[in-house]
Amino acid sequence: MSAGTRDVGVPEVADGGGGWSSWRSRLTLESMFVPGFLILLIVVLTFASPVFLTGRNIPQILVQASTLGIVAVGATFVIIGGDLDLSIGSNVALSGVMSAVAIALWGLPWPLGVLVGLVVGLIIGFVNGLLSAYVRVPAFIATLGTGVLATGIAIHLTNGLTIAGLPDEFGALATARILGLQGLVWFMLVTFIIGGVILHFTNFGIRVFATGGNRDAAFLAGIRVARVRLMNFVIAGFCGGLAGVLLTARVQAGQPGISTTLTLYATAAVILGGTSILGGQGSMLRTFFGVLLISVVQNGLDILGVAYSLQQVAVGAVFVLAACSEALRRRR
Amino acid sequence: MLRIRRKASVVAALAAAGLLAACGGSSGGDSSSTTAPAPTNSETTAAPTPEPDGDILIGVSFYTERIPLYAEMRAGIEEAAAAAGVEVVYADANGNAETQTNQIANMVTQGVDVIIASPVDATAMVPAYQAARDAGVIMISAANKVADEYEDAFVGPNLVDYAAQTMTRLIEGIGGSGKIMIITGPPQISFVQLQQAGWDSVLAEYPDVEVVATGVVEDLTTAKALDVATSLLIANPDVSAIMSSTDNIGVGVVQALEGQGIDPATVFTAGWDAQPNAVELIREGTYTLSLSFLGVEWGRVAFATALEAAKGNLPASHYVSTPGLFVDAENASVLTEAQISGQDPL
Repeated sequence: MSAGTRDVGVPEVADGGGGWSSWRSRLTLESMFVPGFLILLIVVLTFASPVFLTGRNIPQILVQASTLGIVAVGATFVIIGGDLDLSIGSNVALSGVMSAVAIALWGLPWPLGVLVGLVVGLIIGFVNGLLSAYVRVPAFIATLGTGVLATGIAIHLTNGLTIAGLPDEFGALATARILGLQGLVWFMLVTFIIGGVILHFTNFGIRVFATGGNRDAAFLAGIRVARVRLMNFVIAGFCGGLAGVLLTARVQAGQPGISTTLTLYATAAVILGGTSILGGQGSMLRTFFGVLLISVVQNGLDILGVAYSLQQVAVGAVFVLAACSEALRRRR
Repeated sequence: MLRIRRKASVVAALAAAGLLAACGGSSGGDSSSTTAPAPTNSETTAAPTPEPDGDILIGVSFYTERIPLYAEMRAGIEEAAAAAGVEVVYADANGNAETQTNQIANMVTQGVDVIIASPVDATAMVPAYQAARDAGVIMISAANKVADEYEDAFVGPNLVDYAAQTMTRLIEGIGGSGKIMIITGPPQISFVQLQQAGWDSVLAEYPDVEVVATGVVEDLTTAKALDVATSLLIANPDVSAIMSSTDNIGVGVVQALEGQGIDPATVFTAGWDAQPNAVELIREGTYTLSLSFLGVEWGRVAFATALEAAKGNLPASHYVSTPGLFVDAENASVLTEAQISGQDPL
């Protein structure tokens, strides 16, 4: 099975690739663009700042990438499946707020609070999938609607205020260090690994690619397209719920205004990584590089003390880059 | 599938109707009719058309209710409006000038007498203010403002002055010299601009204070503040003080200090809003200084000013000042949450 880009017009069971020649064929300019750009950026930032490539900052970059990475895993499924999820940031906010409310206001033990947050994420994903795949509302409209709904509920539940008073054990979920890295980073890495295995090494993953590549062909090949799309949104919802819970644990507070830009960044990370916005092509590894690229840019600009306005220019340039690389892929 | 679609349409229609009904129900005021308190710290002058309280309709357009201060202000307005028996319609601009422009226009259509607005943008909101005033609606700014000539009054504390006071306390807290860091909200927000003006005026008087790094937390959340502050601390670990625009940011700063192995008690940290979790950190000794604007009381004053204006009594002074309260280690343990929010008197 391929761990790289699939281009599935009709469903396939396996690509049968293997050996050095197969790997060499995958090392195209397109596949190496983001990793290469990332390495170049790291080299430049290392020369620009003495603290960038240090043992203190590298774990920090990974921490800053974690929430984005977790939701980007879910977004990769949705986008490869040919849909778009605009409720990611709102999902994270509501899931986080609900777990905080459950623990701090309802008095539930923190593990149950975690469960509440995850279930909220799953429900949002399920509703997104139901509306998009079965009611056939265009995904970006459906998820925009559920996103606004989720944001409204989060603000209503908290009255706009921060929910604090969360136990240290809950915070440790995100901040406890294992092998020098915070729990949040491990959650991201495990999410990427599980997401990558499901996407690239299971029959479900093949169906995701097939559904995104050509829905009609996938349907004619016997794939339950609506169910696959529903599952993609459920996975994305779960990832949003997990990110919301972990973000809340990290700052030990539930905030309704959190993650307002996460939808944009997650989608950009996926597209930048090489996943086609039209579906059917992509890779979890590339999403990982997309997430790292955005995080390195943000961290580097902060460390260099670049003015906020110029930071916006730089981040915008990265997004334009993502759009251009996507356009170039489509032209090929 | 057709049957499923029909069922879904019915469910969607019912849900939308229910939602609209719920929203409509929440915007009205109490029906009891008493008189609201007059503005606490401003005289009033006569203006054209007095109306009985029951006929008065007041609109409120906040910058965004995601900022806790606005939630407190709303609580104060709701409380005062209920006591006065005045109907109030609320809108949340969610930080968007176009949204707020539409909301203000809609309020004019609804026939409001006065609008209390926290303008999203000092320039972009001028046309909306002008259109409302041309329609005979009194425009009162709160928290944020447009230029004096485009508004009928401003209700709120002198933010430049309070920013200067906060910076003075911070600098004196580190002995008048040292390296400091400043982390703000988005610079396009007027309160951030006013803060910066106040801070700069004080910094100019202390040449031995060096601002070694500045950062921006675009969404004003603790999570983003934690990331920004950590990055800045990695590059500048030897700062003596960190000034934040808000306590949401300040709490993230404290967490970033802890994450970098720096004892927060050794760094002077300051912010605004006096949120409960920040006050708790002050009590623990890990956060140094906050400023409460007594949001509930601020809301009451804003409503009282608007009510009097609707009756034809505009405040004598364009600026209706509201108080602030610094919270630090000395008073944090004796103040209650209700006092800090302005719900209860000090």
